[in-house]
Amino acid sequence: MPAQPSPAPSPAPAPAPSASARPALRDRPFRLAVPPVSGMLRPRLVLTGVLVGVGAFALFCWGLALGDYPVSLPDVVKALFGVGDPGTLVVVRDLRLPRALTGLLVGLAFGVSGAVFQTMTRNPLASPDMIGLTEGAGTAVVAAVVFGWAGGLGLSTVGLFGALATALLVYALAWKGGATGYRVILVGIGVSWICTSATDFLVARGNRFQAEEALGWLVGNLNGRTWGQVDSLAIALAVLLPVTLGLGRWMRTLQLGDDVAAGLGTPVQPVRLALLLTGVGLVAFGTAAAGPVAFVALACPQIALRLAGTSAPPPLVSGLTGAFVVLGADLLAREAVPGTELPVGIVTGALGAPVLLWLLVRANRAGSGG
Amino acid sequence: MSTTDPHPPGIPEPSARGPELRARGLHLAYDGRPVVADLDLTVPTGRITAIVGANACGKSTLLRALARLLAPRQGVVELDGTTLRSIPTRELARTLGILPQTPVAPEGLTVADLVNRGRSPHQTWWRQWSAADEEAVRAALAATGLTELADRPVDELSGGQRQRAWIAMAVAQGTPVLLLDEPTTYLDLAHQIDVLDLVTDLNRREGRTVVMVLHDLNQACRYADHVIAMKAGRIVAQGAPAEVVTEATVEDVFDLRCRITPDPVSGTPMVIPLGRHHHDGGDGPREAESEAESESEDAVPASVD
Repeated sequence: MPAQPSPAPSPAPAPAPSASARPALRDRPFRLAVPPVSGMLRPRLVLTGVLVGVGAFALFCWGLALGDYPVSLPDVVKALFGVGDPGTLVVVRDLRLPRALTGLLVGLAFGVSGAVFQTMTRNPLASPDMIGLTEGAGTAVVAAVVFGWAGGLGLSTVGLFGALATALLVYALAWKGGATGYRVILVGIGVSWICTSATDFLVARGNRFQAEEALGWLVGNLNGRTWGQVDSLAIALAVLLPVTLGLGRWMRTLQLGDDVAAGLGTPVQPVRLALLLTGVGLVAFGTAAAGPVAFVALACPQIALRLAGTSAPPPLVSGLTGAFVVLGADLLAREAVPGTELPVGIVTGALGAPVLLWLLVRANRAGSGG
Repeated sequence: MSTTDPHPPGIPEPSARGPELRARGLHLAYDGRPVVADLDLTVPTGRITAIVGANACGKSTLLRALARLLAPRQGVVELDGTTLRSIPTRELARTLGILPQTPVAPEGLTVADLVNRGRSPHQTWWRQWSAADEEAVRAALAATGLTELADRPVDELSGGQRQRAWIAMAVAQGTPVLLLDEPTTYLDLAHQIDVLDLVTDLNRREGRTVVMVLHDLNQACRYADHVIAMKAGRIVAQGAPAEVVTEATVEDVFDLRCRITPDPVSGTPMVIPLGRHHHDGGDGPREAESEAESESEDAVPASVD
């Protein structure tokens, strides 16, 4: 071997002038003496979260204002705080609020769940609506409708068990010394098609009334929501959202790969299991409340990631983006065709398909994803 | 271990005696296939150890077991006499760092953010950027020459810079023991030397114990204080490079006949492989080459001995 003089660290290319965000949006550390709290302040992430959150709230109010009995936006906001004439209060709080809240919470649940799955598998395609969880919930619900099981349980609970069972199945089939990346996606797509076929079979087998009831649920729908659906979803979110945010610290190391994460002191398998359970729980409760609203869990985390300029989908901002998208899509669904209310899933499906194509093209080009 | 002190006099040795890593009666398997059998090993504290061997001899598997990424089938790995399995995850991550082979950074992750994540065993949910974290990250960036590139995404860097960024993460972790799995893979020669020089700095300046799996025997001889040669899951020879890297050992371990001469720069052993077409007849390489060419394709290579 020739005597190779060790070179000085290769000349560092000067940092590109516009490499990072404008100075005001750059990350900066903060450190308090008492209490000893410290961390990294991410202005761009915070700003994105606030803007998307405000946008979602605006759509929420707008949705409450629209309808056969129009209410002005200021009156809607007042009515939310219990101020206004009794007629307006009844329309806003009793008739319209469950639908709007379901949309808000379902979007939140799907967005956070998508962020969890995409971070955990390090692959944007591994979102719960791609790997069969929502389809599994759908099959369970249709089976319950057709066979008349739903009586005591309610469709939502059945959907919940369907999603959980499918998650277990995908995880078990994809397990080979750890379940990651493309194996989960390929197995998930297979399972998803099996569920879709089973659903089609059940719909064909059931009578016309049952088929209609099932189909209304299968596309993802916010029509005719009740407080019961809002309550169970709100309770689920109140438990699962803090858990997910608490696991955020480990998601940051898990993102570097299992071995690196373990080397950095991450309890990899317990964290993975906890993330899986919260992710499945969120999507299961969301699906139970509104049916499988297509593409929200896939697209919203990717949108949030690009808006916030982070390297992994930020869970909370993904959730807010999900809420924004579901509420916006619901408005479109209600207003696009005069006289009919389309199911919200049709609109998110139409909007989400191009996002999926774009992700596929990109993943191929980058050759990444394992 | 000799008592010569490689540390320059001015620089204090942070941990004169760091933790001792050793394995006893280790049996390791991968996918049910036994890879390492009944292996005993004591890693010299405060030195650089290189594990060498042919492909699939179990060297990476051994490194993974030393880092607790792989549970032994039998036997134990001990850190200062405590079984690795009984050490809490976080505590282990403050003592022992591991850099797996060719890790992949997520798209858009900046160098500073990656290096910062090396601090996670020292952080809590509410304390994610202490003064110690900041200082460790700054020092790691400076040691790896990446200060200027701190705000750049890792995936936009060159291969050598990228590898330095990962090493910087491991440096910021601040562990007295550092395990590196083929840190020079896929790097060009200049960047390989660059990375190995950096590893030497970490050892000489900060007294960190380093264990690395290396492919290149000459680099192992030059940069390691202690060389472990493995074959089929067993240690064939270990000790100072000059004791381990001999013509007989190389032939045994790599199934390759060679000559050993002193490295003209470092004086450590340098392996000159023979192969089928080149062998030393004492008349220089040209002669040997033409001789080799005159042989028919399927002829048994002429033996020199």
